[in-house]
Amino acid sequence: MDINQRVDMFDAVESNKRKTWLLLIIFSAFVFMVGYAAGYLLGSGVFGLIIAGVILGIQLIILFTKGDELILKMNNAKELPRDDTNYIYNLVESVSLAAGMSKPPKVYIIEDDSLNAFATGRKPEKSAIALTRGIINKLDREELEGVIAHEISHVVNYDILISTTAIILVGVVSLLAGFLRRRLFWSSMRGGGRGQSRGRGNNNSQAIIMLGSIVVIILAPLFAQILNFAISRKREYLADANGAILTRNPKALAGALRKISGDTEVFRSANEATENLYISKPLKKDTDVSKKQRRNQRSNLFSTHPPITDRIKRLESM
Amino acid sequence: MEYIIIIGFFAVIILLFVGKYNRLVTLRNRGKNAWSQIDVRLQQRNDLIPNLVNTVKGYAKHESQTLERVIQARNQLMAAQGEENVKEAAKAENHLQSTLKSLFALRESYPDLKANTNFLDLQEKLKGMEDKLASVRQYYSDSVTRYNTEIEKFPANLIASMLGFEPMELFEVENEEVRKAPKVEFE
Repeated sequence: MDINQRVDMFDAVESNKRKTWLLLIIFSAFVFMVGYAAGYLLGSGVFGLIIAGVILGIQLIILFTKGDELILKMNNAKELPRDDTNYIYNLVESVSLAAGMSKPPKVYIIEDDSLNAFATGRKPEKSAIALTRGIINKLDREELEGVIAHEISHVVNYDILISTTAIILVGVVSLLAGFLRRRLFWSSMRGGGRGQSRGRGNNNSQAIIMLGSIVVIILAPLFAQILNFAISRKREYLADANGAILTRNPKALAGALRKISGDTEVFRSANEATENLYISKPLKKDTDVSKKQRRNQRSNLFSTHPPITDRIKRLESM
Repeated sequence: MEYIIIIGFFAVIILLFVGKYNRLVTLRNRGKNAWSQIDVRLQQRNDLIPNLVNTVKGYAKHESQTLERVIQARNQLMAAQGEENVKEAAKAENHLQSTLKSLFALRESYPDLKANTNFLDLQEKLKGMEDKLASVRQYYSDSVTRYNTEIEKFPANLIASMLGFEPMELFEVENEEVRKAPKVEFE
Protein backbone atom coordinates (compact mmCIF):
# COMPACT_ATOMS: atom_id res chain seq x y z
CA MET A 1 0.00 0.00 0.00
CA ASP A 2 1.37 3.33 -1.02
CA ILE A 3 -0.29 6.48 0.11
CA ASN A 4 0.86 8.20 -3.06
CA GLN A 5 -1.77 6.12 -4.75
CA ARG A 6 -4.10 8.67 -3.30
CA VAL A 7 -2.73 11.06 -5.88
CA ASP A 8 -5.08 9.27 -8.24
CA MET A 9 -7.90 10.22 -5.96
CA PHE A 10 -7.14 13.93 -6.17
CA ASP A 11 -6.84 13.74 -9.95
CA ALA A 12 -10.11 11.84 -10.12
CA VAL A 13 -11.93 14.90 -8.79
CA GLU A 14 -11.15 17.07 -11.82
CA SER A 15 -11.89 14.27 -14.23
CA ASN A 16 -15.27 13.60 -12.60
CA LYS A 17 -16.27 17.26 -12.72
CA ARG A 18 -15.38 17.37 -16.41
CA LYS A 19 -17.29 14.19 -17.13
CA THR A 20 -20.34 15.52 -15.30
CA TRP A 21 -20.42 18.58 -17.57
CA LEU A 22 -20.02 16.35 -20.59
CA LEU A 23 -22.82 14.13 -19.36
CA LEU A 24 -25.07 17.17 -18.85
CA ILE A 25 -24.38 18.45 -22.36
CA ILE A 26 -24.84 15.09 -24.08
CA PHE A 27 -27.98 14.35 -22.13
CA SER A 28 -29.47 17.76 -22.81
CA ALA A 29 -28.85 17.31 -26.52
CA PHE A 30 -30.38 13.87 -26.33
CA VAL A 31 -33.46 15.04 -24.48
CA PHE A 32 -33.98 17.83 -27.01
CA MET A 33 -33.71 15.26 -29.81
CA VAL A 34 -36.28 13.03 -28.19
CA GLY A 35 -38.44 16.06 -27.49
CA TYR A 36 -38.26 17.11 -31.11
CA ALA A 37 -39.14 13.62 -32.29
CA ALA A 38 -42.10 13.53 -29.95
CA GLY A 39 -43.21 16.99 -31.03
CA TYR A 40 -42.98 15.98 -34.64
CA LEU A 41 -45.25 13.03 -34.08
CA LEU A 42 -47.72 15.32 -32.39
CA GLY A 43 -47.54 17.80 -35.22
CA SER A 44 -45.06 20.43 -34.02
CA GLY A 45 -41.36 19.82 -33.51
CA VAL A 46 -40.81 23.24 -31.94
CA PHE A 47 -43.47 22.54 -29.35
CA GLY A 48 -41.64 19.31 -28.47
CA LEU A 49 -38.40 21.24 -28.06
CA ILE A 50 -40.05 23.67 -25.67
CA ILE A 51 -41.53 20.86 -23.61
CA ALA A 52 -38.13 19.12 -23.50
CA GLY A 53 -36.52 22.39 -22.40
CA VAL A 54 -39.03 22.87 -19.61
CA ILE A 55 -38.67 19.30 -18.34
CA LEU A 56 -34.89 19.51 -18.52
CA GLY A 57 -34.96 22.84 -16.69
CA ILE A 58 -37.07 21.43 -13.89
CA GLN A 59 -34.79 18.42 -13.57
CA LEU A 60 -31.69 20.60 -13.45
CA ILE A 61 -33.21 22.70 -10.69
CA ILE A 62 -34.02 19.52 -8.75
CA LEU A 63 -30.50 18.24 -9.35
CA PHE A 64 -28.81 21.37 -8.09
CA THR A 65 -31.06 21.85 -5.08
CA LYS A 66 -32.49 18.57 -3.85
CA GLY A 67 -30.98 15.80 -5.97
CA ASP A 68 -29.48 13.92 -3.05
CA GLU A 69 -32.58 14.26 -0.87
CA LEU A 70 -34.70 12.87 -3.67
CA ILE A 71 -32.43 9.86 -4.12
CA LEU A 72 -32.40 9.19 -0.38
CA LYS A 73 -36.18 9.40 -0.31
CA MET A 74 -36.50 7.05 -3.30
CA ASN A 75 -34.59 4.51 -1.22
CA ASN A 76 -36.58 5.10 1.99
CA ALA A 77 -33.50 6.28 3.87
CA LYS A 78 -33.99 7.97 7.26
CA GLU A 79 -31.43 10.31 8.74
CA LEU A 80 -29.46 9.15 11.78
CA PRO A 81 -29.03 12.16 14.06
CA ARG A 82 -25.50 13.27 14.89
CA ASP A 83 -24.52 11.60 18.14
CA ASP A 84 -20.99 10.85 19.27
CA THR A 85 -22.05 7.99 21.50
CA ASN A 86 -23.23 6.07 18.42
CA TYR A 87 -20.49 3.96 16.87
CA ILE A 88 -21.85 4.24 13.34
CA TYR A 89 -21.63 7.97 13.52
CA ASN A 90 -18.16 7.76 15.05
CA LEU A 91 -16.94 5.47 12.27
CA VAL A 92 -18.20 7.82 9.57
CA GLU A 93 -16.64 10.86 11.19
CA SER A 94 -13.36 9.08 11.83
CA VAL A 95 -12.99 7.88 8.23
CA SER A 96 -13.99 11.30 6.88
CA LEU A 97 -11.20 12.85 8.97
CA ALA A 98 -8.69 10.38 7.56
CA ALA A 99 -9.84 11.45 4.09
CA GLY A 100 -9.31 15.10 5.04
CA MET A 101 -12.95 16.12 4.75
CA SER A 102 -13.86 19.36 6.50
CA LYS A 103 -17.29 18.09 7.42
CA PRO A 104 -18.46 14.49 7.79
CA PRO A 105 -21.23 13.22 5.50
CA LYS A 106 -24.70 12.81 6.95
CA VAL A 107 -25.64 9.27 7.86
CA TYR A 108 -28.87 7.61 6.71
CA ILE A 109 -30.35 4.26 7.61
CA ILE A 110 -32.46 2.11 5.29
CA GLU A 111 -34.68 -0.24 7.28
CA ASP A 112 -33.97 -3.38 5.27
CA ASP A 113 -32.35 -6.67 6.24
CA SER A 114 -30.19 -6.96 3.13
CA LEU A 115 -26.53 -5.89 3.17
CA ASN A 116 -25.92 -2.74 1.17
CA ALA A 117 -24.76 0.86 1.25
CA PHE A 118 -24.44 3.90 -1.01
CA ALA A 119 -23.29 7.50 -1.03
CA THR A 120 -24.87 10.50 -2.72
CA GLY A 121 -24.64 14.28 -2.94
CA ARG A 122 -23.18 16.90 -5.23
CA LYS A 123 -20.03 17.65 -3.24
CA PRO A 124 -18.26 16.29 -0.15
CA GLU A 125 -19.51 19.11 2.10
CA LYS A 126 -23.09 18.21 1.25
CA SER A 127 -22.93 14.47 1.00
CA ALA A 128 -24.72 11.57 2.63
CA ILE A 129 -23.99 7.91 3.23
CA ALA A 130 -26.84 5.43 3.49
CA LEU A 131 -26.48 2.04 5.18
CA THR A 132 -29.04 -0.73 5.41
CA ARG A 133 -30.03 -2.07 8.83
CA GLY A 134 -28.78 -5.46 7.68
CA ILE A 135 -25.25 -4.27 6.95
CA ILE A 136 -25.07 -2.58 10.35
CA ASN A 137 -26.23 -5.69 12.16
CA LYS A 138 -24.23 -8.31 10.30
CA LEU A 139 -20.82 -6.68 9.86
CA ASP A 140 -18.42 -6.19 12.73
CA ARG A 141 -16.99 -2.79 13.53
CA GLU A 142 -13.91 -3.08 11.31
CA GLU A 143 -15.83 -4.45 8.35
CA LEU A 144 -18.39 -1.68 8.62
CA GLU A 145 -15.52 0.80 8.74
CA GLY A 146 -14.23 -0.72 5.48
CA VAL A 147 -17.60 -0.26 3.80
CA ILE A 148 -17.86 3.32 5.07
CA ALA A 149 -14.34 4.00 3.76
CA HIS A 150 -15.38 2.67 0.34
CA GLU A 151 -18.35 5.05 0.32
CA ILE A 152 -16.28 7.98 1.56
CA SER A 153 -13.84 7.35 -1.29
CA HIS A 154 -16.76 7.80 -3.69
CA VAL A 155 -17.59 11.04 -1.87
CA VAL A 156 -14.14 12.65 -1.96
CA ASN A 157 -13.60 11.45 -5.55
CA TYR A 158 -16.74 13.30 -6.65
CA ASP A 159 -18.07 10.00 -7.97
CA ILE A 160 -21.24 11.02 -6.16
CA LEU A 161 -21.58 14.13 -8.31
CA ILE A 162 -21.60 12.21 -11.56
CA SER A 163 -23.76 9.35 -10.28
CA THR A 164 -26.34 11.70 -8.74
CA THR A 165 -26.43 13.70 -11.98
CA ALA A 166 -26.80 10.56 -14.09
CA ILE A 167 -29.67 9.25 -11.98
CA ILE A 168 -31.64 12.47 -12.14
CA LEU A 169 -31.07 12.75 -15.89
CA VAL A 170 -31.91 9.13 -16.60
CA GLY A 171 -35.16 9.89 -14.83
CA VAL A 172 -35.99 12.50 -17.49
CA VAL A 173 -35.16 10.28 -20.42
CA SER A 174 -37.10 7.27 -19.25
CA LEU A 175 -40.05 9.50 -18.40
CA LEU A 176 -40.05 11.00 -21.88
CA ALA A 177 -39.55 7.64 -23.54
CA GLY A 178 -42.43 6.10 -21.66
CA PHE A 179 -44.68 8.99 -22.61
CA LEU A 180 -43.69 8.75 -26.26
CA ARG A 181 -44.19 5.03 -26.47
CA ARG A 182 -47.78 5.42 -25.32
CA ARG A 183 -48.31 8.32 -27.69
CA LEU A 184 -47.01 6.40 -30.66
CA PHE A 185 -49.20 3.44 -29.82
CA TRP A 186 -52.35 5.57 -29.79
CA SER A 187 -51.55 7.42 -32.99
CA SER A 188 -50.91 4.17 -34.82
CA MET A 189 -54.28 2.92 -33.59
CA ARG A 190 -55.96 5.95 -35.03
CA GLY A 191 -54.37 5.39 -38.42
CA GLY A 192 -52.53 7.81 -40.69
CA GLY A 193 -55.18 10.53 -40.71
CA ARG A 194 -52.82 13.17 -39.42
CA GLY A 195 -50.20 12.50 -42.09
CA GLN A 196 -52.65 13.25 -44.86
CA SER A 197 -53.91 16.49 -43.42
CA ARG A 198 -50.39 17.86 -43.19
CA GLY A 199 -49.54 17.73 -46.89
CA ARG A 200 -49.15 15.62 -49.94
CA GLY A 201 -46.07 14.14 -51.58
CA ASN A 202 -43.69 13.93 -48.63
CA ASN A 203 -45.05 10.72 -47.20
CA ASN A 204 -41.68 9.13 -47.82
CA SER A 205 -39.61 11.60 -45.85
CA GLN A 206 -42.23 11.56 -43.16
CA ALA A 207 -41.90 7.82 -42.87
CA ILE A 208 -38.14 8.16 -42.54
CA ILE A 209 -38.46 10.75 -39.81
CA MET A 210 -41.07 8.58 -38.16
CA LEU A 211 -38.69 5.64 -38.29
CA GLY A 212 -35.89 7.76 -36.87
CA SER A 213 -38.16 8.86 -34.09
CA ILE A 214 -39.02 5.28 -33.27
CA VAL A 215 -35.33 4.38 -33.16
CA VAL A 216 -34.64 7.28 -30.82
CA ILE A 217 -37.55 6.28 -28.63
CA ILE A 218 -36.49 2.67 -28.44
CA LEU A 219 -32.87 3.57 -27.83
CA ALA A 220 -33.58 6.15 -25.15
CA PRO A 221 -33.81 3.88 -22.10
CA LEU A 222 -31.04 1.64 -23.38
CA PHE A 223 -28.76 4.58 -24.04
CA ALA A 224 -29.50 5.98 -20.63
CA GLN A 225 -28.70 2.68 -18.96
CA ILE A 226 -25.45 2.18 -20.83
CA LEU A 227 -24.33 5.67 -19.87
CA ASN A 228 -25.25 4.96 -16.30
CA PHE A 229 -23.25 1.76 -16.31
CA ALA A 230 -20.27 3.23 -18.11
CA ILE A 231 -19.95 5.62 -15.25
CA SER A 232 -19.09 3.27 -12.51
CA ARG A 233 -17.13 0.07 -13.19
CA LYS A 234 -13.60 1.37 -12.75
CA ARG A 235 -14.74 3.49 -9.86
CA GLU A 236 -15.61 0.46 -7.75
CA TYR A 237 -12.03 -0.81 -7.92
CA LEU A 238 -10.69 2.65 -7.19
CA ALA A 239 -13.06 3.13 -4.25
CA ASP A 240 -12.08 -0.28 -2.86
CA ALA A 241 -8.39 0.59 -3.10
CA ASN A 242 -8.76 4.07 -1.67
CA GLY A 243 -11.03 2.80 1.07
CA ALA A 244 -8.38 0.27 2.05
CA ILE A 245 -5.74 3.00 2.10
CA LEU A 246 -7.93 5.21 4.30
CA THR A 247 -8.44 2.53 6.93
CA ARG A 248 -5.06 0.83 6.37
CA ASN A 249 -7.10 -2.34 6.56
CA PRO A 250 -7.87 -4.01 3.20
CA LYS A 251 -8.68 -7.31 4.93
CA ALA A 252 -11.69 -5.81 6.69
CA LEU A 253 -13.24 -4.50 3.47
CA ALA A 254 -12.53 -7.86 1.78
CA GLY A 255 -14.30 -9.57 4.69
CA ALA A 256 -17.23 -7.21 4.34
CA LEU A 257 -17.52 -7.89 0.61
CA ARG A 258 -17.45 -11.63 1.28
CA LYS A 259 -20.32 -11.29 3.74
CA ILE A 260 -22.22 -9.09 1.29
CA SER A 261 -21.81 -11.56 -1.57
CA GLY A 262 -22.86 -14.45 0.64
CA ASP A 263 -26.00 -12.63 1.71
CA THR A 264 -29.22 -14.14 0.42
CA GLU A 265 -31.56 -11.46 1.68
CA VAL A 266 -33.47 -9.73 -1.12
CA PHE A 267 -33.25 -5.99 -1.12
CA ARG A 268 -36.88 -4.98 -1.05
CA SER A 269 -36.61 -1.28 -1.69
CA ALA A 270 -34.33 -1.78 -4.69
CA ASN A 271 -35.15 0.92 -7.18
CA GLU A 272 -34.02 0.41 -10.73
CA ALA A 273 -32.89 3.98 -11.34
CA THR A 274 -30.67 4.10 -8.27
CA GLU A 275 -29.32 0.55 -8.12
CA ASN A 276 -25.94 1.48 -9.58
CA LEU A 277 -25.25 3.59 -6.54
CA TYR A 278 -24.93 0.67 -4.18
CA ILE A 279 -21.72 -1.01 -3.06
CA SER A 280 -23.04 -4.27 -4.47
CA LYS A 281 -25.80 -4.53 -7.02
CA PRO A 282 -29.12 -5.03 -5.26
CA LEU A 283 -30.87 -8.28 -6.06
CA LYS A 284 -34.14 -8.28 -7.89
CA LYS A 285 -37.40 -9.04 -6.11
CA ASP A 286 -38.03 -12.04 -8.32
CA THR A 287 -36.16 -14.87 -6.64
CA ASP A 288 -35.48 -16.78 -9.86
CA VAL A 289 -33.75 -13.81 -11.33
CA SER A 290 -31.78 -13.13 -8.19
CA LYS A 291 -30.61 -16.72 -7.95
CA LYS A 292 -29.42 -16.54 -11.52
CA GLN A 293 -27.71 -13.26 -10.80
CA ARG A 294 -25.88 -14.76 -7.89
CA ARG A 295 -24.88 -17.86 -9.78
CA ASN A 296 -23.31 -16.16 -12.74
CA GLN A 297 -21.63 -13.09 -11.44
CA ARG A 298 -19.37 -12.75 -14.43
CA SER A 299 -18.93 -9.33 -15.88
CA ASN A 300 -20.39 -8.17 -19.14
CA LEU A 301 -21.20 -4.93 -20.91
CA PHE A 302 -24.14 -4.22 -18.70
CA SER A 303 -22.72 -4.88 -15.28
CA THR A 304 -22.00 -1.81 -13.20
CA HIS A 305 -19.96 -3.62 -10.63
CA PRO A 306 -17.01 -5.90 -11.25
CA PRO A 307 -17.45 -9.43 -9.94
CA ILE A 308 -17.18 -9.32 -6.18
CA THR A 309 -14.70 -12.23 -6.05
CA ASP A 310 -12.33 -10.21 -8.20
CA ARG A 311 -12.67 -7.23 -5.86
CA ILE A 312 -11.90 -9.43 -2.86
CA LYS A 313 -8.84 -10.87 -4.60
CA ARG A 314 -7.47 -7.42 -5.34
CA LEU A 315 -7.99 -6.26 -1.76
CA GLU A 316 -6.28 -9.31 -0.35
CA SER A 317 -3.20 -8.76 -2.49
CA MET A 318 -2.75 -5.19 -1.24
CA MET B 1 7.25 37.21 -35.39
CA GLU B 2 10.24 36.13 -33.33
CA TYR B 3 9.13 38.46 -30.57
CA ILE B 4 5.75 36.76 -30.40
CA ILE B 5 7.39 33.37 -30.11
CA ILE B 6 9.75 34.56 -27.38
CA ILE B 7 6.96 36.30 -25.47
CA GLY B 8 4.76 33.23 -25.85
CA PHE B 9 7.55 31.02 -24.57
CA PHE B 10 8.04 33.11 -21.44
CA ALA B 11 4.30 33.37 -20.88
CA VAL B 12 4.05 29.58 -20.86
CA ILE B 13 7.00 29.29 -18.46
CA ILE B 14 5.45 31.84 -16.10
CA LEU B 15 2.08 30.11 -16.18
CA LEU B 16 3.66 26.77 -15.36
CA PHE B 17 5.63 28.40 -12.57
CA VAL B 18 2.53 29.99 -11.04
CA GLY B 19 0.62 26.72 -11.27
CA LYS B 20 3.35 24.74 -9.53
CA TYR B 21 3.81 27.42 -6.88
CA ASN B 22 0.11 27.47 -6.03
CA ARG B 23 0.07 23.70 -5.81
CA LEU B 24 2.95 23.71 -3.33
CA VAL B 25 1.20 26.34 -1.21
CA THR B 26 -1.98 24.27 -1.18
CA LEU B 27 -0.11 21.15 -0.12
CA ARG B 28 1.82 22.98 2.59
CA ASN B 29 -1.35 24.49 4.02
CA ARG B 30 -3.02 21.12 4.01
CA GLY B 31 -0.18 19.80 6.17
CA LYS B 32 -0.33 22.74 8.58
CA ASN B 33 -4.06 22.42 8.85
CA ALA B 34 -3.81 18.73 9.62
CA TRP B 35 -1.29 19.47 12.37
CA SER B 36 -3.64 21.87 14.13
CA GLN B 37 -6.42 19.31 13.87
CA ILE B 38 -4.36 16.89 15.94
CA ASP B 39 -4.14 19.39 18.81
CA VAL B 40 -7.87 20.01 18.74
CA ARG B 41 -8.67 16.30 18.88
CA LEU B 42 -6.13 15.62 21.62
CA GLN B 43 -7.70 18.34 23.74
CA GLN B 44 -11.19 16.91 23.23
CA ARG B 45 -10.02 13.46 24.23
CA ASN B 46 -8.21 14.72 27.31
CA ASP B 47 -11.28 16.72 28.37
CA LEU B 48 -13.43 13.62 28.28
CA ILE B 49 -11.31 11.58 30.69
CA PRO B 50 -12.34 13.28 34.00
CA ASN B 51 -15.94 12.77 32.94
CA LEU B 52 -15.34 9.08 32.50
CA VAL B 53 -13.48 8.78 35.80
CA ASN B 54 -16.36 10.45 37.67
CA THR B 55 -18.88 8.05 36.21
CA VAL B 56 -16.82 5.05 37.21
CA LYS B 57 -16.26 6.49 40.69
CA GLY B 58 -19.97 6.23 41.45
CA TYR B 59 -19.85 2.46 40.96
CA ALA B 60 -16.37 1.50 42.04
CA LYS B 61 -15.53 3.51 45.15
CA HIS B 62 -12.90 1.04 46.30
CA GLU B 63 -10.86 1.45 43.16
CA SER B 64 -9.72 4.98 43.87
CA GLN B 65 -6.13 3.96 43.13
CA THR B 66 -6.91 2.96 39.56
CA LEU B 67 -8.93 6.11 39.06
CA GLU B 68 -6.20 8.32 40.42
CA ARG B 69 -3.65 6.75 38.16
CA VAL B 70 -5.74 7.57 35.11
CA ILE B 71 -6.05 11.21 36.13
CA GLN B 72 -2.34 11.36 36.90
CA ALA B 73 -1.45 9.90 33.50
CA ARG B 74 -3.72 12.39 31.81
CA ASN B 75 -2.16 15.34 33.65
CA GLN B 76 1.33 14.11 32.79
CA LEU B 77 0.36 13.89 29.14
CA MET B 78 -1.09 17.38 29.14
CA ALA B 79 2.05 18.77 30.75
CA ALA B 80 4.25 17.05 28.17
CA GLN B 81 2.07 18.34 25.37
CA GLY B 82 2.25 21.84 26.81
CA GLU B 83 6.02 21.78 26.63
CA GLU B 84 5.88 20.21 23.20
CA ASN B 85 8.19 17.48 24.34
CA VAL B 86 7.40 14.87 21.71
CA LYS B 87 9.30 12.05 23.37
CA GLU B 88 7.74 12.62 26.78
CA ALA B 89 4.31 13.02 25.21
CA ALA B 90 4.63 9.67 23.46
CA LYS B 91 5.61 8.01 26.71
CA ALA B 92 2.76 9.69 28.60
CA GLU B 93 0.35 8.67 25.87
CA ASN B 94 1.31 5.03 26.23
CA HIS B 95 1.03 5.27 29.99
CA LEU B 96 -2.43 6.81 29.72
CA GLN B 97 -3.54 4.01 27.40
CA SER B 98 -2.48 1.33 29.84
CA THR B 99 -4.21 3.03 32.78
CA LEU B 100 -7.37 3.40 30.70
CA LYS B 101 -7.22 -0.30 29.98
CA SER B 102 -7.18 -1.12 33.67
CA LEU B 103 -10.03 1.33 34.16
CA PHE B 104 -12.15 -0.48 31.60
CA ALA B 105 -11.16 -3.82 33.11
CA LEU B 106 -13.17 -2.76 36.20
CA ARG B 107 -16.29 -3.49 34.21
CA GLU B 108 -15.81 -7.17 34.89
CA SER B 109 -15.90 -6.79 38.68
CA TYR B 110 -18.77 -4.31 38.70
CA PRO B 111 -21.74 -5.64 36.73
CA ASP B 112 -23.74 -2.48 37.53
CA LEU B 113 -21.12 -0.45 35.74
CA LYS B 114 -21.26 -2.70 32.73
CA ALA B 115 -24.99 -2.17 32.50
CA ASN B 116 -24.85 1.59 33.01
CA THR B 117 -25.80 3.40 29.81
CA ASN B 118 -23.93 6.51 30.80
CA PHE B 119 -20.76 4.46 31.16
CA LEU B 120 -21.35 2.65 27.88
CA ASP B 121 -21.95 5.96 26.12
CA LEU B 122 -18.73 7.38 27.53
CA GLN B 123 -16.86 4.27 26.50
CA GLU B 124 -18.09 4.60 22.92
CA LYS B 125 -17.39 8.31 22.95
CA LEU B 126 -13.81 7.71 24.06
CA LYS B 127 -13.33 4.94 21.52
CA GLY B 128 -14.67 7.27 18.83
CA MET B 129 -12.32 10.03 19.92
CA GLU B 130 -9.33 7.70 19.84
CA ASP B 131 -10.32 6.63 16.32
CA LYS B 132 -10.71 10.22 15.18
CA LEU B 133 -7.37 11.12 16.72
CA ALA B 134 -5.76 8.24 14.85
CA SER B 135 -7.45 9.46 11.66
CA VAL B 136 -6.21 13.04 11.89
CA ARG B 137 -2.72 11.79 12.64
CA GLN B 138 -2.87 9.56 9.61
CA TYR B 139 -4.15 12.43 7.49
CA TYR B 140 -1.30 14.59 8.76
CA SER B 141 1.34 12.05 7.80
CA ASP B 142 -0.35 11.42 4.43
CA SER B 143 -0.43 15.14 3.68
CA VAL B 144 3.17 15.70 4.75
CA THR B 145 4.37 12.73 2.72
CA ARG B 146 2.66 14.12 -0.34
CA TYR B 147 4.07 17.59 0.21
CA ASN B 148 7.58 16.30 0.85
CA THR B 149 7.47 14.12 -2.25
CA GLU B 150 6.22 17.03 -4.32
CA ILE B 151 8.99 19.46 -3.34
CA GLU B 152 11.65 16.88 -4.18
CA LYS B 153 10.39 16.36 -7.70
CA PHE B 154 11.72 18.26 -10.70
CA PRO B 155 10.89 21.04 -11.55
CA ALA B 156 9.02 21.80 -8.31
CA ASN B 157 12.28 21.35 -6.40
CA LEU B 158 13.70 24.47 -8.13
CA ILE B 159 10.72 26.56 -7.05
CA ALA B 160 10.83 25.03 -3.59
CA SER B 161 14.49 25.85 -3.00
CA MET B 162 14.11 29.34 -4.51
CA LEU B 163 11.10 30.30 -2.43
CA GLY B 164 11.90 28.48 0.77
CA PHE B 165 9.52 25.55 0.84
CA GLU B 166 11.07 23.49 3.60
CA PRO B 167 10.24 19.80 3.98
CA MET B 168 7.75 19.27 6.80
CA GLU B 169 8.45 16.99 9.71
CA LEU B 170 6.90 13.59 9.92
CA PHE B 171 6.67 12.03 13.32
CA GLU B 172 10.12 10.64 13.95
CA VAL B 173 10.73 6.98 13.44
CA GLU B 174 11.56 6.43 17.09
CA ASN B 175 8.09 7.71 17.85
CA GLU B 176 6.55 5.13 15.62
CA GLU B 177 4.10 4.45 18.44
CA VAL B 178 2.71 7.96 18.29
CA ARG B 179 2.55 7.98 14.53
CA LYS B 180 0.65 4.78 14.39
CA ALA B 181 -1.64 6.16 17.05
CA PRO B 182 -2.23 3.00 19.04
CA LYS B 183 -5.41 1.23 18.10
CA VAL B 184 -7.16 1.14 21.43
CA GLU B 185 -9.20 -1.87 22.31
CA PHE B 186 -11.08 -1.53 25.56
CA GLU B 187 -13.20 -4.55 24.87
